[in-house]
Amino acid sequence: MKISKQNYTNETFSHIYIEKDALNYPLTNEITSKLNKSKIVYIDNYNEIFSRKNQNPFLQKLSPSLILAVNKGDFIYKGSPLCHDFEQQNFYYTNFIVNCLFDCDYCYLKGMNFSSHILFFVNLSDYFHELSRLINEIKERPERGQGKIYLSISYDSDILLFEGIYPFLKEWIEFAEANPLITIEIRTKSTNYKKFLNYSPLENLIITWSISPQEAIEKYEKNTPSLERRLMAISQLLQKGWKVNLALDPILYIGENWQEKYKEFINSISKKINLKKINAITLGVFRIPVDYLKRFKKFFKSPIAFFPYQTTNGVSTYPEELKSKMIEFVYSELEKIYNKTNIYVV
Amino acid sequence: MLYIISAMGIEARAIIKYLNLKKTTDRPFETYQNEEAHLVISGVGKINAAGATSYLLKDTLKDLNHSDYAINLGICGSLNNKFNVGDLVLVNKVVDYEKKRKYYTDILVKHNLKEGSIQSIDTLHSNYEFEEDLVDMESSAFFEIASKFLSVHQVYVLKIVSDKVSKNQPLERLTNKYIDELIYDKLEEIFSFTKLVSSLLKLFQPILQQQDEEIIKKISITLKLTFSQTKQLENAYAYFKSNKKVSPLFLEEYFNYIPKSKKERDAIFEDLKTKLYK
Ligand code: SF4
Repeated sequence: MKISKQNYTNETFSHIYIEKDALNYPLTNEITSKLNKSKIVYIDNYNEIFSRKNQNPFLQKLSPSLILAVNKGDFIYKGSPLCHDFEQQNFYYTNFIVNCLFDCDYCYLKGMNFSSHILFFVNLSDYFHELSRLINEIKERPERGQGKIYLSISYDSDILLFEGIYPFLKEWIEFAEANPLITIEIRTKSTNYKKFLNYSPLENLIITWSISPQEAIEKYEKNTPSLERRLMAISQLLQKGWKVNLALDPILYIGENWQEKYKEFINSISKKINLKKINAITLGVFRIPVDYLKRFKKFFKSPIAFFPYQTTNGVSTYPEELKSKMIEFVYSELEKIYNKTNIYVV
Repeated sequence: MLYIISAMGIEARAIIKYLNLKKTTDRPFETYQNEEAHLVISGVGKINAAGATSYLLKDTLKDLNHSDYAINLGICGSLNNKFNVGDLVLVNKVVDYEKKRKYYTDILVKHNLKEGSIQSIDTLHSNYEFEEDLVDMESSAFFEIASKFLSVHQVYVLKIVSDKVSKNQPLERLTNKYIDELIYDKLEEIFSFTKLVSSLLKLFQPILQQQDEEIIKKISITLKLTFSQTKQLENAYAYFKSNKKVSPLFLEEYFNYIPKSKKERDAIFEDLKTKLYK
């Protein structure tokens, strides 16, 4: 069941909570001057807000606040086995933005984080510093993989949504240009692609669009652009020579006639974009740590929360038989129109 | 339900009248209530505020009421020039001055009130630092306890500035008439804010309502479901409701059906689940 923004809920970013340490970063000023109508509240540590236990992430989605903080912990993490690593041994992810303004019913962030407020870490330079250290370490130890790093930078958010107030893209593009040993992946559902057109395409920067049948978008991906608009954005960047991946992930059980719907969906993709130019396609069905699912059930009213999943090793997903059927079906439809060596199943 | 905690009788006087609350108890705290609101007079200081808050909210958890909210309402001093005497302030940050603990209201509701921060103290002394905008003697204790019962977006502190605190001058004693008038002047603003909060809270209702829980319980008893089966039934029920947007009232057919064996019960249960997951 969807809830919509009512006129008695606050505007997005009506409040900005700023860590006192974050005041030392010019980015903080830049962001607050763009959001000059917001009320500012000073905090000591972002966890005072972000990690409070007694919050309602469901209602917060209607009126998310912004938190500006300095990341003093880890910057780069080893990739999770629930995500695809493209057979790269050095698969990492990082998060300088946490949480998202889109509102997908299946979003694991809603199970993982106690809050739906948006968190920005403003010390981006520390991330680059740490990454350079990691690159050197791997260079010196080529036995660790092929000496290359695959880094997803929009793991815990749809970062492109925020480029207007947190201008990170230029810095990441420059970093990728200067460091060919690292491949950077930005995963998105947004249609905010125009900024890319200011730069020349890079071999080591991949934009992965998550796409779903329009019916699933309407039902389960609230606030996100339509399939049509996403495909339009994709084709624009493909034409300019950018490297684009598609993620048919999560594949969702959208009723008994899901096969028909997925078939139609795959057909429409092949009509709207030149699939030959797509770098890779990943497939995966909905899956989530069981503890996160428990929080879904507490707060959310979507059928995604209550499907009778099966849980193995702490991860809940569709029962094995249905899962294989879903993957096999989508795979077989795709391989009719796309080179199967570039299809990866998560 | 709106829960109001005020330190002194005089701070509550205008509210009690405005809401037409009736006195219910004298001890351990003076309390007043009607159908929509409960009010407690805690007495001055953090210990009193904590005790009274917990006394007032003790039943809300049991009732699982997402529409409940609590407000600490009263007067406060101002520590800087951001606010004037007579201002009504919605507090967005509460600091316990002695414990150095901080609490933040989750302000999801759109409002026209001024916002500021407050520090709560036990006693004013010469080394006292002015760190926030306002000062009082209860709000941190109220917030700490109220947010154990309720989510943070259900806990608010509303203060009316009664005087300016300065390091060099002793505090003036405020008359009852003066306090009563301060509060009286802000009643409309206070209660238009509470209406907004109440509308926001109505947006969140858990998927299984009381009526749903009763149906589940009844079936679980007649069919003699195991604990795990009852949990499964709850999930399947929620799935049906989330998909179809209505409760599966056809379950009432099972109200009078008593299975003759475990085997039969299990078969009925599987059949029922299939229907709910369809
Ligand atoms: S777009 Fe991604 S990060 Fe944002 S809500 Fe949807 S799944 Fe979550």
